[in-house]
Amino acid sequence: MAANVSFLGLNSSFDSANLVQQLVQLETQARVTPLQEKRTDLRRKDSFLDAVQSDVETVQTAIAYDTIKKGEASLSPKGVTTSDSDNEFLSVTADDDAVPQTFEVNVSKLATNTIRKSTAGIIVDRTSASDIADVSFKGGVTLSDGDVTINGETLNFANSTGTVADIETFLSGFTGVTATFNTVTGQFDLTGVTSLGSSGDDSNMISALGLDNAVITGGNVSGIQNLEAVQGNTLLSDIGVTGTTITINGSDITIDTTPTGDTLNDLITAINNDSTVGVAAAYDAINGELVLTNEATGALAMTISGDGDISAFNISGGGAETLGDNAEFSISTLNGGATLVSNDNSVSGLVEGLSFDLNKVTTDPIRVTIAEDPSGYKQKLDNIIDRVNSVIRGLQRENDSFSRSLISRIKGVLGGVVGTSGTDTYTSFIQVGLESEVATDTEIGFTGYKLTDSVFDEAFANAPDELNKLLWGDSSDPDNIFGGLSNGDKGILVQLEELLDSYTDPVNGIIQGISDSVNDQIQSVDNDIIRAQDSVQSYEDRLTRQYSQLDVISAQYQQQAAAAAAIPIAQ
Amino acid sequence: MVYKIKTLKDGFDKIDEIDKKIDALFEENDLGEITKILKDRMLYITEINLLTGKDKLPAEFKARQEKIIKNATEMQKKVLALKEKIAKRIGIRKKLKAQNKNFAY
Repeated sequence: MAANVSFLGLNSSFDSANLVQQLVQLETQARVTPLQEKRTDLRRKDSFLDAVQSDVETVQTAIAYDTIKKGEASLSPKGVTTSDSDNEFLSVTADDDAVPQTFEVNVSKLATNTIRKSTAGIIVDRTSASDIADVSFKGGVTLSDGDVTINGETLNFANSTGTVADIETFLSGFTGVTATFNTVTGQFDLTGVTSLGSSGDDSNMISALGLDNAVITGGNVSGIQNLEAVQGNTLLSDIGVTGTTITINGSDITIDTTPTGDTLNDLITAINNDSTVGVAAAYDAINGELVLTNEATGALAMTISGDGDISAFNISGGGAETLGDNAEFSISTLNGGATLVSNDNSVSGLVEGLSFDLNKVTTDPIRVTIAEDPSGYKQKLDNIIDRVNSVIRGLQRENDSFSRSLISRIKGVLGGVVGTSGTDTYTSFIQVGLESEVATDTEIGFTGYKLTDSVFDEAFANAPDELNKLLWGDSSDPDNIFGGLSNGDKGILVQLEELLDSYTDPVNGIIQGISDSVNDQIQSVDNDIIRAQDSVQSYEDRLTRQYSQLDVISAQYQQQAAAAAAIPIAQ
Repeated sequence: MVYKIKTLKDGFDKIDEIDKKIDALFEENDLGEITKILKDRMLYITEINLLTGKDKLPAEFKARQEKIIKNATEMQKKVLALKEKIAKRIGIRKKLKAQNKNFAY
């Protein structure tokens, strides 16, 4: 409202400003507030429609008619029981196509991965005369000076900038200990050792040489670290690799072998980040070995080549590869129980509708039984029914004409009769176990649906194909695998899907239409509110002007009465 | 200085005339016009005072002087009454509003 300075009421006992404010407030309540309330109600209705749209879509998702009708989603997977109840040795899954049967499975070998690794370490020759700074220590650390303890004796090492010979001399300084750098293995060999290290040591020598990870046998111990092995951060160019491409299993990996290009670690990362290669790469910096493992199992050869020289990896020759094993197993009812082979431990396509995961070599045959099981079917229907109930509950709370109409139509479909009595085995959902009008929320008098297990189980056991027709059949749809009812009626869930789709269609859906209308109304009310606010503003301006005038008049009279009274009069 | 009133009587007559006009204007709720002519009323009172000068206002004008004062007071009361009337109406409307939320004003 007006922000002008006002002197209303200064010359009277009345607070004119407050009076104007109250009049404006009343005018606002009379003209603006009802519009705002109407807008709030419209917005709430729009939110309600959004919620209905979302709830109805969850029903459609649960029905999943498009995949069910084509047989792409399982409707009644068979039940599987095995003597390996924990699936320690074997997991079996069954879909709709599986046939009830019993058989035994033996697993004699699991499929493993082919591994290709360097036949010799990727090394740079070192001798006792080599600088300590040039050799590779475990973990890529730098050798540090400080106390070292062997056999309980502590000596101080202070030649970390020296040569490998300085380490030999130092370690041989311990009583009874002889230390030699082995130029064949690249490791440090020590004799006369009973114990290594102490908590008081402050040189990392024992760890850096890999002595702390080695077993002492008869006083002899060799550090696990090959001091000649190059580290992962070594440039490919420094170990003599050339070219721009390495090809593994037919997939190209681009490499940069220039003096500032890729390192071994860069190559490992490139291989692991390329999903087409199908290989997991690693670098063993202890021994200087590149290790490639096929991601697929089985006796599958791994190929590796380069457009330049990659001999430094020592990985190209046949000796570098250890072929993986194929899985070997048998199924008593298949091929006379003969041994079967598979590259993969996951096996399918041998027995219709069944998939096997071979987990462990068996010690005894695993007995597997496949049987009809309506529980999966029921679970799906229960899920649909729960969501339908949720939609109805929300609509009942709103209880407007739209809600009552949709509830009525849903109930009409679910409770309807389809097909021909006497010709079709089942002609209503209720006949196969749908129980209607179940009170589940007494607060709003909600009535919904549930599936009676015993009735459904019996209907499923007696005529599963007829049950499918009743619910999912549609002879007019060539994609529908369930056929149709005798009189051409569509199945009940097909009808429900069509009904719901007429509401949720994003372009022509009923909900969208109403929502558009509501939003138009909101826009209209918004405009009305702006006009009403402008009108109230004008009213306030007018009132302010009038009351100012009243106050001025009152003040003028007060002044004039005083002026007149001040004129002296003769007696 | 040229006065707008010629005599004291003329001044009081003009003021009486204005008061009559104001009564009518108040009925018509023409507050803007009242504000304008009230300035003239003040002018006449001032000129009556000036014409009286150092003398006293003759006793024959005593009643008319009192009438001017009385009219001013009455008009102030009328203004006040008008505001009271509006205030009362606000009270009534608020009560009605409380009784019926959908009351149309």
